[in-house]
Amino acid sequence: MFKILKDKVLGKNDIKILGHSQDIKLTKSLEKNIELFKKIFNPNETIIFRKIESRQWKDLKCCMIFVDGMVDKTNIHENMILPIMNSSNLQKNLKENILDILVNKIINASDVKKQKNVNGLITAILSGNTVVLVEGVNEALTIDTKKWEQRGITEPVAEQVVRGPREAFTETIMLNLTLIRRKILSPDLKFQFKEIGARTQTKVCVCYIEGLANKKIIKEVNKRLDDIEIDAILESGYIEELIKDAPLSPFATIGNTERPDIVAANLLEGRIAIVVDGTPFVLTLPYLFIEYFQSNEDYYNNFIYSSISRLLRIFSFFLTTSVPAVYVALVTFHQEMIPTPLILSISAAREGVPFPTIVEALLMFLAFEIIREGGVRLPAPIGSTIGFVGAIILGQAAVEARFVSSPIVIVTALAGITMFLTPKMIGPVIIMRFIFLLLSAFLGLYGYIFGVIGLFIHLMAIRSFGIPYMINIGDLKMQDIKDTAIRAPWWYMYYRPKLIGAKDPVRKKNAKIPEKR
Amino acid sequence: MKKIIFIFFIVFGTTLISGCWNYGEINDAAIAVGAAVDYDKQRDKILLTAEIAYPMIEHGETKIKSEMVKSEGKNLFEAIRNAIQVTGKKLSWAHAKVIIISEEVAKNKDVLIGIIDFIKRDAEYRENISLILSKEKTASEILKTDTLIQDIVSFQLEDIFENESGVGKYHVISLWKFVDDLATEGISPTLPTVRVSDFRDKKIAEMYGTGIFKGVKKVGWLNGDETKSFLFIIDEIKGGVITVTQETPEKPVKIALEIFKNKTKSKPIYENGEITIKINTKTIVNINELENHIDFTNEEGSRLVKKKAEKDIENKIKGVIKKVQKEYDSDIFGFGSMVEREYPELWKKIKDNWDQVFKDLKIEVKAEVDIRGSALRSKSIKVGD
Repeated sequence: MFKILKDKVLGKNDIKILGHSQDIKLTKSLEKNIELFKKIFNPNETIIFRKIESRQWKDLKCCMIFVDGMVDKTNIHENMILPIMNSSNLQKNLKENILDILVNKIINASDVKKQKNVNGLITAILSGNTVVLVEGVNEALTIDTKKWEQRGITEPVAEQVVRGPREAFTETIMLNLTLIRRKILSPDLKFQFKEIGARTQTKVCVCYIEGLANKKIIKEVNKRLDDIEIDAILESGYIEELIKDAPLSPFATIGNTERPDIVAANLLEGRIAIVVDGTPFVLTLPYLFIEYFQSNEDYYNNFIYSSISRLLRIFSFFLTTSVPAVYVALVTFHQEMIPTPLILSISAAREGVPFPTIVEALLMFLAFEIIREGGVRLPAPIGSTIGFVGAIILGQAAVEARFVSSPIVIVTALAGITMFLTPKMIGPVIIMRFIFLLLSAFLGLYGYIFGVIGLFIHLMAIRSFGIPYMINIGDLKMQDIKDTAIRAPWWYMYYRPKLIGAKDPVRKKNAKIPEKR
Repeated sequence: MKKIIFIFFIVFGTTLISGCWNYGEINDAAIAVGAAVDYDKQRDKILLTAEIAYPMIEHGETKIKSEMVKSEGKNLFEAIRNAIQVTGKKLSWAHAKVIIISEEVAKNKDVLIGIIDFIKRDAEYRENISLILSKEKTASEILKTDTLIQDIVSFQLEDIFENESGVGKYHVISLWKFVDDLATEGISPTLPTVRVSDFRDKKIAEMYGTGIFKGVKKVGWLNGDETKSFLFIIDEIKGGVITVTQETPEKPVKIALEIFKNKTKSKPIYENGEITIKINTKTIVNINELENHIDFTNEEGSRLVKKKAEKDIENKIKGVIKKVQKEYDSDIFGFGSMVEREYPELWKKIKDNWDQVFKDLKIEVKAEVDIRGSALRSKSIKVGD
């Protein structure tokens, strides 16, 4: 069924958009070659065809093809057009291939390649290279002349820290790779490029440190990336969803970050990073459940304080998913479990409220989500207005009008605030909270526990590139918990986390507690 | 797909066959916090007075008030259900603190058993709900008294229960303990009693003394001081005051001792065909109040006080045991079960006429008082003219 649908929607020919130039070959005639490219590109006035001839060497006729706005025109002018025009007649006598003469003696460029494949030439033009077609040769030169306006390195927006580097990735892949490279000056740091997306030909780079990253995982990542069949990749989220282990799960098995220091730390733990052109968000994998609760600042601050904040995050994860469900269960099923004074005040607050507790809870959460969703993408000044209106309408007016009771407002607010301690988990948290709420409204604490068991079964079943998402308590070793819910001091973490399957587990050889100095 | 359907059926099966679905909104139930149960012998009816707590909003402030609801029925369950006729809401008993029964109930064996059976059997009541006996004519009188600090009588009573250890003149019994004692051979249950006393222009409920049961029938009563001695014997004293009157050359002086810690060990000894119960009680106290300027905190003085206190405790314990042996013939101290533990073979022989044996049991009491200190002062107050 799906196959028929796929064929209908996409159309079989659409996927092979560049297929028509596969079998076309360059000819020796310059004019014909120019015609060929014009046929492929036109109408497209951003592509410039510049024909030049040497003043003295009459046989040397070339045509440069490049995209206006993506190239460094001064570079082309000074280092290609001028030398070719000025090339002397003498060189004609040499028996070398004309292309070799151009590459070796005339063009002043660091990155020059010869290419026959028309497909490759098209991609080269579109990615900002200059293609030089030469009369009498059925091959062309691609010269790296990329230059375009790009955003500078700014502070990260989504992952701000008090202590730590303040740079974030940008939309340009080469700049992003530079940011990573600058942190790890090791020849073992490897970058493998791929182009994914039949139409967009997006550059994707797989980074890892040879000798640390598990070879099987690298192989698996490459396999999954090669298997991708899609026409466009506009953000790393596309790739994340396409190669994820548990495609239907709301939980992420691939991490993303816009901070170079996090990527560098992940690489050094034996993980693999996937950098995608056009987005500042870099994917890291394998990604484990506990990483939701870890922040890069944990490694920069005092380890005791970091451990406490991690435990706090885990605790608030339980609060945000469970408080509404437990409240509804206690109030509607297990009134005997609430202390007498509290039950009387809850009862007083609920007096005159027309809806059952579960309807109240659902209404409040709907309102909360609407306000949150409304505020997220608004400019900051308008966003705060939304907050005000929400607070006044929901917090006060609704309670005063006896539309909802005040305890449910407290519960909603508590669940809402604790959600932001683990900002990457907002999506799964909302889903879990909703499921738990419905279960406990239907079956009380019994239903809630049911939901928790279901959640754990799900989490224990997931794997991220062969690594268990959550570690089995039965396999737990001291080494493995050093950097999980707590953060051990750096001098004590002398092994890389074994969970990830790093090949070389020893981080430092001398496991010594530093002396008091 | 088959697997999903299978899992679905298992999940729903377990949810449907697992028990009662007790969904109920919190404000749809009337929260009963206490109950008084009376028995009308002529009409053979149970009269129930339930205290219901409800919130009231006055000037934007929430206040907890209580209301008495009266109903009657052929048995307690019927009376409770009949209460809906007046309240309009089902009573929720999960938060009930206390059940007060009248003398009339305590004297009618079947009625009391019926009530206890219902409370134990019904899922809503707590196992640790306190059962108390009214010394007044009816139980409902107690709930109708005025309150002092709390707004609700049942809460006031609960406060009194919780601070039992500071006084030691009553001993609160949870429902499960009462039923447990009832079922155990060689021990008779007791219940704390409550009476109405005057306090300025108010009438308030006061916990005082212990009702003695033989089987499920009330047979007698111990007053507050006797209750304290009773608690010494059953090793339940956790605090309270011992007042010793010490003769001095001038006049008798009263000295208050605060009990810090107490441990009582009782052991039956079978010798020459006779059972003797040996009671050893060890108490750690503090001198907390001296009436006169005479100093009893020094070594000699405290030895005098210690001797006197030991003797007092011994005498009082002996007195209580004698009284119970003679007048009520009910083994509330659990001597029978001690014999059963120590001499199981002997117990088998004598258990059928334990009542008779209990009456003539020999008791040996040894009290030991250890004065640890004299609180924040080392000397008595000097009175200089």
